[in-house]
Amino acid sequence: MSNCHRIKSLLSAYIDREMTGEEAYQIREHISQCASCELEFEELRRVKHLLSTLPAVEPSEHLLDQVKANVFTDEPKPAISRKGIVVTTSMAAAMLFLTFALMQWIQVKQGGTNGLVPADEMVATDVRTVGDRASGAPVYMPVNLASAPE
Amino acid sequence: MIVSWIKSFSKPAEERKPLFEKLMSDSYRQAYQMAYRFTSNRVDAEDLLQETYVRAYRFFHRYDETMPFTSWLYRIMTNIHIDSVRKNSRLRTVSIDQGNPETGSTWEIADDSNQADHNMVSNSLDEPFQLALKAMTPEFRMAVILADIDGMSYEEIADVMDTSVGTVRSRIHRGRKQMKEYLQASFPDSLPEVTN
Repeated sequence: MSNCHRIKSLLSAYIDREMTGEEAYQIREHISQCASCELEFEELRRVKHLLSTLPAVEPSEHLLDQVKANVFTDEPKPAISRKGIVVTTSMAAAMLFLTFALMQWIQVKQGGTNGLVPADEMVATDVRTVGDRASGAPVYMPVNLASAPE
Repeated sequence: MIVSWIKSFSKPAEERKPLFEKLMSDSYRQAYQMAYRFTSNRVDAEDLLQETYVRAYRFFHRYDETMPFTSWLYRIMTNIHIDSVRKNSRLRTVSIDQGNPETGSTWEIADDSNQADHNMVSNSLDEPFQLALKAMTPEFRMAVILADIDGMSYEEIADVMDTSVGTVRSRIHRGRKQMKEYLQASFPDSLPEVTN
């Protein structure tokens, strides 16, 4: 029975002669002894026969002229479509924004005082955190530390 | 292939146009058959054919002249058709039996039985087969049409559909099974005996 399943899956290729001679021999042998597979083979053969004998459908008289007119008068399309332009512009704007934000962040990191105050100006109570005043170098601390509870 | 591509690309437009025009005149009837069997109606078939040739001409510099023109053309047609089917299926994701969940009402579906398109299929002699093709999964339908109507080999179909021969073998088999089951259920007398 499991062999029938395999044979049935190969029946179309057998009908189209799209298999090796050995495979074709196995299928031929099998369907000569199996009524179920033989019936399936006959039905699939009928489907192929019907499709291959369908009458040709004639195109309308002026179709070729219409197609030619469309093909050769079709304006060359821009390399990027309208949708593509919108997407590209949006991406460029987003990149510009990100670059600007990154530059601001680097500026703050490298010595800006946004959100920070020199330790000298703080009402600091924790000397270890404030750092070395003797060196004279400004030491920066977050603003909220200045109001830290004692 | 690369040499052919370069040759083709280097051809000036005034040389490409007459060549394309000749290929188009030679192939359009056969291409129309494919388009009609893919779409199941004349209007959509003509649209598909137009779009296929417009795109083919735009990318004609990529055509490898050592390959059959129809194979290359069918590849373009197949891609356009699959895209169109997917686009349309996305628009039809709500079951008409379900009705409108917000209002609880059922959908009002227009009666299209008088449409010219419907008549064109139902009046033709091959109505059962065209309806059966229409009911098939698009990829299966295209593989079956290329094999049984155009007579292509599995290898040629694999090239057109940009897939493996194994996949083509499976699609053709499953497609024919779908067609057989549809015909047996809807048109029981449409599968006569085949005499050798």
